[in-house]
Amino acid sequence: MKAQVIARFTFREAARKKVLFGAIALTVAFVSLFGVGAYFAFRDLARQAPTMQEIAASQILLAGLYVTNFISGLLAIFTSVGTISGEVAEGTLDAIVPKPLRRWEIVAGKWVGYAAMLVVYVFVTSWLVIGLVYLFGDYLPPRPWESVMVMAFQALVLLSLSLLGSTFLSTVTNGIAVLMFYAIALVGGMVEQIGSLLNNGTMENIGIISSLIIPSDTLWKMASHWLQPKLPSLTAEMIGPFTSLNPPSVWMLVYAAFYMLFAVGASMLIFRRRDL
Amino acid sequence: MLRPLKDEDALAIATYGLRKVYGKKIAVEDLTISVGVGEVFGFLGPNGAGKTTAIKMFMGLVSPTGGSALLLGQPLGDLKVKEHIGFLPEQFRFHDWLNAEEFLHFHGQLYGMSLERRRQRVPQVLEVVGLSAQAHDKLHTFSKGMLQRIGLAQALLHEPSIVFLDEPTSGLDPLGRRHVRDIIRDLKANNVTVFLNSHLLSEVELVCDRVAIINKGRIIRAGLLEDLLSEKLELQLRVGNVTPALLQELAGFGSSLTIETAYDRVPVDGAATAGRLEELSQLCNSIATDGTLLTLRLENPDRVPLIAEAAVTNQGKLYGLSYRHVSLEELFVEAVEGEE
Repeated sequence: MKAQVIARFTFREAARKKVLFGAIALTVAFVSLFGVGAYFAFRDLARQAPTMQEIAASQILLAGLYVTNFISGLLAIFTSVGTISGEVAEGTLDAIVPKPLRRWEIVAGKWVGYAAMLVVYVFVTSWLVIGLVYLFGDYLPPRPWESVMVMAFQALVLLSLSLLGSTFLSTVTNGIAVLMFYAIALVGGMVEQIGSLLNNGTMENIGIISSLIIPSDTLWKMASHWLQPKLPSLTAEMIGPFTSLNPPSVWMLVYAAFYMLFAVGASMLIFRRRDL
Repeated sequence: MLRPLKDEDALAIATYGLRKVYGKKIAVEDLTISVGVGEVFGFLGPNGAGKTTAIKMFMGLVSPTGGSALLLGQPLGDLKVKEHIGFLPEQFRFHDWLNAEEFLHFHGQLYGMSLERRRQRVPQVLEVVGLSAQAHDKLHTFSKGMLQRIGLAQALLHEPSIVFLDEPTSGLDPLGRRHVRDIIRDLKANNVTVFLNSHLLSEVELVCDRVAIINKGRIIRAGLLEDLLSEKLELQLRVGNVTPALLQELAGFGSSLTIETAYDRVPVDGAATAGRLEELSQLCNSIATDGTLLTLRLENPDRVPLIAEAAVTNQGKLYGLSYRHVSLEELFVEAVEGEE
């Protein structure tokens, strides 16, 4: 299958992009700083009660993974933002499309290539952060694998949206558009969280609508929920600002899966009909 | 889709009223051509005539608005047929972070070639295009001409049956052009069909069997190159003692007659007045001591002896007579300007 050839090629291409080098450099800096911070934080926390230690450890972990999740989202957008439009503008696709392969295979191959790169990034970085917290704070969240998988899923949703935009928008326009969607999700998530605290239905509804427009923040809320400590009574103060007390419905996972499939399917359909 | 005719089995390319419209702009209005297997076909036209759009339709880069086309007897987009097609795009922009060998292996994989076959073919095509020494150089270090050569290599890698070359020599020096001409001749010798889109008419004239001239999205001339070029002759006479009667008679023979003076080429209209002809004959005789050069465009070479006779019977002194076929460039200019 020719999509595999495109996927391997895209992975290689993505792995040598400057944006990835930048992200890796920043991640190394972030993980190093996080490790130093965690070391000193846990040294001071050693005198606290075990419950307090667990709450503090989960908050430190949530902060670390929130940053990881945020960077992976940006990485998903910026590595793939011009994957079709950029190649159309440059003319590199002129030598590929006439080859004996279907256009949908090009789209599928590109998606798989970038997805592989993002999944590797999310898993490596997330487990580095989880490992550091475990090393210095002896804390392992209840469901780390599920959390990391949902974080990777969030990156794939953003990748799919970016890929879709890339089939009909110019690189710059697509970059701005997807970034705005991402920002809407982040702000919408915050509005919903504040609405939940204030018991304000309108604010909560705004959050729900924004998560339907783009479910990236909802996925983070789900991932972060599985990182919270298993304590009998958790309060908003205990879990900190990076997560929410009420996890989204599991149906949001299903919705996000359909959302992603729709975006990839629409990308294939649009690209199939596009004149180059 | 039109059903293919029986004799189309021998056709590499056949189009029927192929059409492409972008909004209100007609890029290709009505393209009907046929190219036989093993032919080198020149596709010519001024800028914006629709050449590249036509090639893009053949290559599946652009969807036709109307009409149909067959490549090797199958409709456009057939994957099996695509395995036998090579294409060098006009804008040869490739993934320049690859080296030449990696680039060819990538394209070989897209053609579905096995690793073994790629290992055999990649060094061969690199040698054919003269880039063996640059096999491990990154494409971003390549000059324009080298990029065009590597683009040609990827088009020939899988030993295709049809090769579409869109301006294959635009970035090459004279030696490189000659090299590409030799490659095209080798392809022809191996019964490969070559569809050549080029502005360099002298190149086309040297390698093509047949040509089609497209303007404003329509074919305005097409045929065997030899036939098209022999349709018109340019006859040159060096004549002394040019008389008005001689000028009038000569103008009646060809499609155009011009007098070449030391300063200019003066056209002689067949319907010129007696006074004007007198004036022109005086002009001829006043500046030429060894005869004036008169150039006639003819459509029939059988008339040459009659013209020589006419020169002599009208008291002209015939110093010399020679004729040549018009060049493809002249044919092209005449065809395109005739359409304007």
